[in-house]
Amino acid sequence: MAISLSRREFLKAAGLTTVLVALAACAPKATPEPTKAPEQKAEPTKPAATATPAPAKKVKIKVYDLVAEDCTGPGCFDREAQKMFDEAHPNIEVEHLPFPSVSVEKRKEYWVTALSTEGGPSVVFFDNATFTMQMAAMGNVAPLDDYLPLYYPEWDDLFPIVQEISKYNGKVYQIPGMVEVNGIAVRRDYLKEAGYDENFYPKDWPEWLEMCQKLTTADHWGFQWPMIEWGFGNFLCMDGGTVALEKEDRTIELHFASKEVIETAQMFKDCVFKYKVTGPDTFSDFATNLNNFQQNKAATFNFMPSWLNWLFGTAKFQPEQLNFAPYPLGPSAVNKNSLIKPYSGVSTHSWMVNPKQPKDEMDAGAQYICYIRSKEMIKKEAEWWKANELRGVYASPFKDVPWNTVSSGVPEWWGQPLLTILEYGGVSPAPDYLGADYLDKALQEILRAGDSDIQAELQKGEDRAKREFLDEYHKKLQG
Amino acid sequence: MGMPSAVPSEALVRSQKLINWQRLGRTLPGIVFLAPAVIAFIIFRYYPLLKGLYMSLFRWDTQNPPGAFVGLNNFSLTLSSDVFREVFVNTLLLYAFGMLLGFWVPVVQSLLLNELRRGYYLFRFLYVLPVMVPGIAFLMVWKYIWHPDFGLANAVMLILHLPKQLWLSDPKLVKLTLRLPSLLGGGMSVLIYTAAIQNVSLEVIEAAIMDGASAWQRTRFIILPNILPIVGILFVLSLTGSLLAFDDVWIMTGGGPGYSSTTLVMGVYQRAFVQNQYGLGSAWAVVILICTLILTLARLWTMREERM
Repeated sequence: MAISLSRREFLKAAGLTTVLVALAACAPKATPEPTKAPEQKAEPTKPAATATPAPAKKVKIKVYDLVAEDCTGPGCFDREAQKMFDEAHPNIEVEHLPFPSVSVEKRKEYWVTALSTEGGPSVVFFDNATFTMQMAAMGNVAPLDDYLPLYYPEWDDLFPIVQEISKYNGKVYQIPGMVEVNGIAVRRDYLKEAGYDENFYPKDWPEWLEMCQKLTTADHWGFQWPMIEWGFGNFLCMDGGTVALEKEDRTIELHFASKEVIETAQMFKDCVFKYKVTGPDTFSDFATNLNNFQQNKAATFNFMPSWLNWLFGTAKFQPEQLNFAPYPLGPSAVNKNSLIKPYSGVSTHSWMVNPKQPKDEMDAGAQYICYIRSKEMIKKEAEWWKANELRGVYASPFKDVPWNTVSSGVPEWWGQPLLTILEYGGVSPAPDYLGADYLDKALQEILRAGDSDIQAELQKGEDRAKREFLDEYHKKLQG
Repeated sequence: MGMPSAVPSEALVRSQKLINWQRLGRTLPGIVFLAPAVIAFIIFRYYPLLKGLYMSLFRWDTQNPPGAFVGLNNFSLTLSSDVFREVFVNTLLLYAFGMLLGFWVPVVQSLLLNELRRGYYLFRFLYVLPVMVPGIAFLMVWKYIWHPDFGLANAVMLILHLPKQLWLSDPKLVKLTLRLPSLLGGGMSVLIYTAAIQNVSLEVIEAAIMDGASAWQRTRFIILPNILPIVGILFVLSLTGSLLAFDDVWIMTGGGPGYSSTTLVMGVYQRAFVQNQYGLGSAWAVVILICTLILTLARLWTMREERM
C-alpha cells in the first residue's frame, strides 16, 4: 500500500525525528553500576571505599596538571615528578591535561562544575585548603583515610596544623602540597630611613600603628592593603575574632558585631581617618595594592611566600630587601579574652580525588597524589630548584623537613616567621560559611566616612547575612 | 467545455497529498543545513533557560539534585533582598549613565561623517578600527587611566588644579567612571548608523536642499526620522546588554567597592558559584530575564506606536 504524505506532514515528521535524535544524543549514558562510587556521593562523612593496593591491570586516569614544554618557573618540577611516577607505576597511565588558566574564583567554579557530573578529572588540584573543605562539604571529593597507610605513611610527620586543615568532619580529604602562610612584608630600606632596626617587625597593634606612622611619607604609605577583602579577615584573626563560628551540628553563628570585629574595624578606620597612614584608596583590589607596593607607594604588604616567589620574577624586589613577619596581635588577643584562639591563616596547596569514578581509577588517583606530594618528592623538588638556580620561599608541610631544605636563595630571617606562623595556625572557625560578602558592605559604609557608626553598620550587615544567606543555609542543612 | 466541478477530483487530491519531490529537493538541503544550528540553539540557549527556571523552584543540591522543592520561595527571597535591590539600582544606573554618556555619540558621529566632503572612508575606518582591539586590552588601558596615583585622569585633574579622585574606589563615583569611556563612541554602532543614513532617499534630501533646508533642518526633519527604527533597535540591544553587564565591570572593579558597582549578573554569579545557592542564583537570573523582557517589549511597543 502506497503511503502518501503531504509536504507539511513530512516536515512535521522530519522535525520531530530531528528533535528525538538530538534528545537521544543528549541522554545520559547508561553506565554499569561499578563506575560509580555511591558511598561518597551524598554523604561525605561516610567511610571511604576500602582502599586496595595498586591495580594489576592498566588503569588510565585524567589529571589537569600538564606542564608546558617551555616552562621555566618553579612549577616545572611537576614534569619531572610525573616522569618519575610513570616509571615507578607502569600499571597507571596518567593523561595530563592543561590546567585551566583562569582566576582562583573561576577555577573553583570550574571544579565544582566538573566534579558535579560524571566524567570529571580523576584528581583535582587547588591553591587553597579552604576549597577542600567546601568541596568535602558538598560531597565532591573522596575521603582518603583508607589510602594513607598504603600510599602516604608520612602522614604522622605532617605539622599538626597541616593535618588539621586537611580534614573535614574528622576525615582526611586532601594530600597537602606547599604550605601557605599569611604574614606581612616590610621594606627594609624604608624601615632604615624611619630610624628602625632593619630586622624590626611589630608585635602588636600599637607597635604596628606607630611603625605605619613613621613609614608614611610624602612618597609612600605605611600601609596600603585591600581592607574590604581578606586583609580585614587577617587582622580579625590576629585579634582572636571571627565573623562566623560553626557549631558541632554544622549550624553557624554570626559574630559581626563582636568586640573583636568592632576593634578591628576601628583600627582600620583609625588608619584611614585618624592616623592617615593608609592611602584613601582603601577599597582597592589586591592587584591595585600590589601594584602600589611594587611601584614604591607602600612600605608594607599583606603577603604569602608563594607570591614572593612569583614577585621575584616580575618586580625588582629580592628577598633580602624585605622582612617577612607574623601579623601583629590585636588587643583582645594580647589580653587573651578573644572569641577564639588567635590564629594566622595557614593553608596548603591541596590535591584531592574525585569520588565519581570507577573504584580502580579512584585508587590510582589516590596513589598518584600521594606519590607526587610525598616527602621524598618535596625534597627532590627542592634539590631540583637549587640545581636550576631558582629562588623560592616555602614552609614544608613536614615537621622533619626544615624550611631551608625546601627554600632556596632566601636569607635566614625569612625562616623563623614561617615557623612562628605555623605555630599560630588554626583552622577556619566556620569553613562552611560562604556569606562573607555581607561584611564587605558594612565595612564599605564604615570606611566611607569618619563619623560612621561601626556597631550599627556591623549589626545591619549581620541581620542582612542571616536573612539572605544563613537562614537558607540552615534549612538546607535540615534537608 | 464543461463547468469546473466544485468538488476537486480524486486525481487532484492525490496530486496535492503526494510529496512534491521537486520542491522537497529544493527545501531539503535548507532543512539539513539549518538543523545543526537550530538543534544547537535549542540545546545551548533554550535548554539552559528552562533548566534555570526549573532550578529556581528548588533549594538546589548539586550532589543530590534537585534538592528540596521550595516553590516561589527563591523569588520571594530575591525580591525582598536588600542586596538585590541595591544591585538592581546599580545596574539601572550603569545603564542610565551608558545611555546619557554614550548612546547618542555614535549617532552624532555618523551624522557628522555623513556631512564630510573629503576623508569619509578614512574617518569611517578610524571609527571602526577600535572594534578590532581585544576588549580586555581596552579595559586594562582604562584601568590604568583611572589609577589614583599614576593614572592619566588624575594627571589631567592636577593640570586643571582640581582635586585627585578615586575614580574606581569611590562608591559615589565608580558607576559614572565605568561608563565615561562610552563618550568616545565609535565602534560598530557608527557603521550601522552610517549604513542607515546612506539608505535615506537622496531625492528627498536633494529636494530639501532645493527648498533651502539647512544642514540642521535636513538632519532634524529628514535623516533622523528615517534612521529612527535603527536607533530603536540599537537602543533595545544596548538595554539588554546593560542589564546583562558583567565582564567589563568584573575586570575594572570586580563589583566593588563593596557592592557599589556589582551588577545583577554578578549577583547571580555570587549566589551560584560563591555561596553555592544555585536555586537562588537561578531565581535571580529568571527575575533578570523577566525585567529584560518587560523593558524590551515596552520599548518595542513604543516603537510600534511611533510607526503608527
